[in-house]
Formats: sequence, C-alpha cells, structure tokens
Amino acid sequence: MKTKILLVSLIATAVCGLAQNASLPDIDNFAPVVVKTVPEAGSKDVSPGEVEIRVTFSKEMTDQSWSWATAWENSGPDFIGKPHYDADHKTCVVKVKLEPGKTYGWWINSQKFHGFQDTQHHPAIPYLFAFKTAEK
Amino acid sequence: MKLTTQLFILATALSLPAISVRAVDLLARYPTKLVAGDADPEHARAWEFNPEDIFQVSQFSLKVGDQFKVETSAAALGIGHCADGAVWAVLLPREYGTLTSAASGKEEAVAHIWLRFHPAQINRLFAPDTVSADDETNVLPQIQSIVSAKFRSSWHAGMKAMIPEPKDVTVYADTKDGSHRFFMVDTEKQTAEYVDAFNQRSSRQISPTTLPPVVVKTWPEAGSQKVSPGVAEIKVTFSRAMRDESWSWCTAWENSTPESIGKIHYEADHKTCVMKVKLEPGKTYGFWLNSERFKNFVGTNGLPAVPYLLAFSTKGSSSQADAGQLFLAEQLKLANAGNYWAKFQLWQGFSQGEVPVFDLHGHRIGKNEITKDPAAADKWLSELVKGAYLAKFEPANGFNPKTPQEMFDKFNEHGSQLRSGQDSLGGAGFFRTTKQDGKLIGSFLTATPDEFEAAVERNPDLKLISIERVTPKTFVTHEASQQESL
Repeated sequence: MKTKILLVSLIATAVCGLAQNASLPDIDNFAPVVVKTVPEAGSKDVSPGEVEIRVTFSKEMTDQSWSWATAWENSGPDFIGKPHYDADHKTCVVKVKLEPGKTYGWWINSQKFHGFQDTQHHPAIPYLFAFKTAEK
Repeated sequence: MKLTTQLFILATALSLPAISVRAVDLLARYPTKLVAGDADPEHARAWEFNPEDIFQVSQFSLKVGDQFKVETSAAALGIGHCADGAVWAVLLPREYGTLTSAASGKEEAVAHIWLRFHPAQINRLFAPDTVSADDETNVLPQIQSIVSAKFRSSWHAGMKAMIPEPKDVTVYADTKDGSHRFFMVDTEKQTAEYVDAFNQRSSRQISPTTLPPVVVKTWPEAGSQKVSPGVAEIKVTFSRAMRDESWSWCTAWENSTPESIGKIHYEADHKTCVMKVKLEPGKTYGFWLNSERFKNFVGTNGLPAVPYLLAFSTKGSSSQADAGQLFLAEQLKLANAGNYWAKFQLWQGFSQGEVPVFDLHGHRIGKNEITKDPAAADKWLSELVKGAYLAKFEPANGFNPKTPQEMFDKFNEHGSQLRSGQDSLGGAGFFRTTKQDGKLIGSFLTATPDEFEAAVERNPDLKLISIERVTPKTFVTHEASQQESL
C-alpha cells in the first residue's frame, strides 16, 4: 500500500506542500459527491421486486460512465436494463431485481474504479451505498 | 510450549511455497511485549483497524491433531491491533477456504475466518513469507462488518479486546452454506472444542447495522453555491445512530472551515450532527467528515463513517483574489528558486489552462482555470528537460510482471534507493509502463543516469534497454503516457 501511495504521489506530494497556501478552490471544480440515494443508504425495509435505484450527485455528470462496484461477494442485485442519467444529468438511475430479506451494497466509485465522473472528469468521492430488503 | 511449537511447525509444513512480492513481518509491524494472557476486563484494550492494516496472504493453514484443519489459498487479511500488538484477524479467501472438523464430519467450504489470538503469536499464524502488502481497500467494509458481527464472541469486554493466553486461539468460520463454526483451540493440548451454540444463533450476515455509517444528507447540500452568509447551522445526517461526543470535522484545505460558534452536538435522533457557524459572504467552505487520518465520526456499532467531502460556497462578492493567479505566483517564486516540481506545475498550468487544488493530505480535489500561455509553457518545458534522461528497462530472467505495481516493486528491490527529489527530479521520477509484444516495459525520468544504470545492473530481474537525453517532445510523450494495465 505504501508503495502505491508513493507511486501515485511522486508528483502530488512534492507539490501539495507548495500548493496549499496559494490555491483557493472554486466550488465548480470540486470532485462530485453523492448527495442523495433512493433507497436511502442504511434503509432496512426496502420493498423487494423490481425497483428503481437512484443516486444523485452534487454536480452534472458524464453520461455513459459509471462504477457500480461490488462491495462484497454477490452484493449487487441483477440489473434490468442499463443505467442512465435523468434529464438533470445528476441522477443516475438503474432498475434492479431485489430479493426479500437480503442486504445489497455497492461502492459508488471505489479506490480502484472511478467511472462516476463529472463533466470535467473529476471522479466522484467513493460512497458506500447499502440497504436491506424487507422479508416476504 | 513444546506442543505449541509442534503445532505451528506442522502448520508451516502444510504451507505451499510463498509467492509474495514483498514479505511483511506482522510481528515487526505490530510489536508486543506481552508474554502472557490478560483476561481482566478492566485491562481490556481499545483497538483500531485502518486501510493500511489490510494485507494479502498467499495461503493460510491451521491444523490441530487429526480432527481439525482450516486452510485457504490466497486471501485478504485484516488485522486489528492495539498498543500491545495484533489482537484479531479476518481472512477473506479469494476462493472458498476449507474446514475439516468434528462439527460436520466432512469438509466444508468457508467464506471467511475470524481469529482471536495472543499478540505474540501473529507470525506463527501468518508467516512473513506468506504475507504481502495490499493495494486496494475495497474489502474494508466487509471486514468491518465481520468484526462487528464476531468481535463479541470471545475475549472481549464490550468492544475492547482481552488477551488470550499464548496457547489459545479462537477460530470462527462462516461456511458457504451459512453455518457458523466456532472453535476454542488449545494449541498445547492440541484440541479444538466446537461450540454449537454459535450455529444456533440467527444468521448474522452483512446488514446495514454491521456496515460503516455513511452520510445520507447534509445542510447545506454539498456543492451548494448560494448559501446565505451569516450565522447558520451545518447539519450532517448519517445512515445510523452515532456515538455521541465524537466527531472529526476536518479541514479540507487551509482555512476551509468557518468560525464555529457554540458546541457541536447530535440531535435527538442520534444521527444528525450539528455545528453552529458564522459564514462570510463570497467564500467557499469545505470539511472532510472523517478522513484518512481522523475517524471520530463513529457509529454505535463501533465502525467509523466512510469519509465524505462537504463543500459549499456562500452568496456575495468574494474577498479572495483569483485563486489560480495566486497559485501561479507562488509556483513562479519557487520555480525561479530552482524547484523542479514548481516548474512542472507552471508548464502544465500554462499548457492546459488549469492548475490543481490539493487538500491537506496532498490529494487533488479540484482545479482552477487559468489563461493558457503556449510561449510560457514552452519556456518551462525547456527547463524541465535540462539534465533529464529517459531510462527504459524490461523484465529479465523469467520475471514476468502482470501489473505496473509489480514492475515498480521489482525496481525498488536489490538496494535501489532512487527516488524523485523533494524539489528536484532526483534519481527516478515519472514512472510509466508500456506494453510491447505482450511484455511490460518500464521507464523513468532521471537526473542521475549513471546511478540509474548501476541500480538496474544490480537487479537480476531487470535489464536496461536505453538511457537517452530527454527532449521536449519525448518529455511530453512520456509524461502523457498512461500506466499500462494488463
């Protein structure tokens, strides 16, 4: 891990110390974050069946690019169709089939996968989106 | 004690040859002075578990007598540790592990294994030549979830760890078919006592209550651009009840946080943390809610919340000067003093029309736009290539790296101390790999070509292809090339 950090940071660490004092951020240029999900993360009584999953980001996102990363073995339900963005370009939607009494989870982006990106290609900050379905 | 030794010698004898890229000595990583157990609840130790406590093992095997054997091939390994060393381990096999025991009388496929042991025994369970560093932490929540479900099964006082005797090991394996196999192993007597009560419990699989909390709502919403200045309450709602009087409202960059007034507190739901602040007009604010270093937003299940970046800006005219221009001015000062990385920033900034924004941990979190200036970019590029060489090398003697990381690790073996400098290019910077005829070719930029050549010659697994002076054209091509991933 340390090696990888070194690898990735060869340049970044060398300049970050120089950059902190002088560079003040513009909110438009921040990495996007998840601001809302349906169902809400941590929900324990989601209705099973065919359900639309929605993840809303803080910014407009690049279309046709996503990383619904598995959080543990078999953590993701089967997709029905392909994910797409709503007209606001902020909300990614996918229809899934949920079984009763099961916990589902994705990493919305992860350390390894960065498919969710804003229109300037900043990858979204990773978010753990997990919920449980109601028993039958 | 003799039997203990025999047990672990037997366990080691079952091991396959290690293939780890770089052995990790876990006893050195988690040293201990403890030589005996400590089951006094008053002495129970607080422990921690972080992304850097995740490793890979090439194999694991624990055999006790003829009745009990648990083993796995390659697996992720999480280690919980206190000030007195390692106190627990979780093994997540890539494929299923196997358990042979009196519990079922047949071999069972194992999904994951929970272990409690004396801190001094860690290297006997996980021999250094089977352990290597991990380069991804996506298993973190899964391990945390297992810890949450298993920790209170033995040697605990609440969520604090008591210390078993060196002869005692707890093995708690969940099988593929959902059985919970709990064993109290005595390595001196070579017994593995099965406790069926754990299998009678309702299934404690992963659920929202055993996962780390996440932020589900904030006020202002992250990314908001027209928040009214003045006194306001910032509210952060988590996905579950949280531990009171514990939080990490971290600065995202220097002076990123507003003035706090009043006491931070949780609302009655125990999920929503509130900070009263004074917001100035025309300003951008940012917090990391937990971060890599600070993790005091903790759920009542004992798990730290997944870090979240909350940034927003207020209405009104800004008192800040143009951020991009400030950055350039600072880099210019450093570059004129000879700083190589400042020159690099100026070249990138003027050629691409943007400069980066870093948080306090050195992570790039955004960018600011500036005016492109090709002439200035060319000037700084000519500075960057002065005294710089492009060195290429390839694998040799059967070494067959599958990833750039393997190539990078190999380069660092055999005493290579070459690194990029703090304010200079140094011995080795801008590592890249390309794929040619199915083989990875590595390359660095270096300001010390003779030392670089000597370092590669010392390494039997690498062979130098070429070292050539860098031109502006080759610099641009090299810098822009992506890491090849097979």
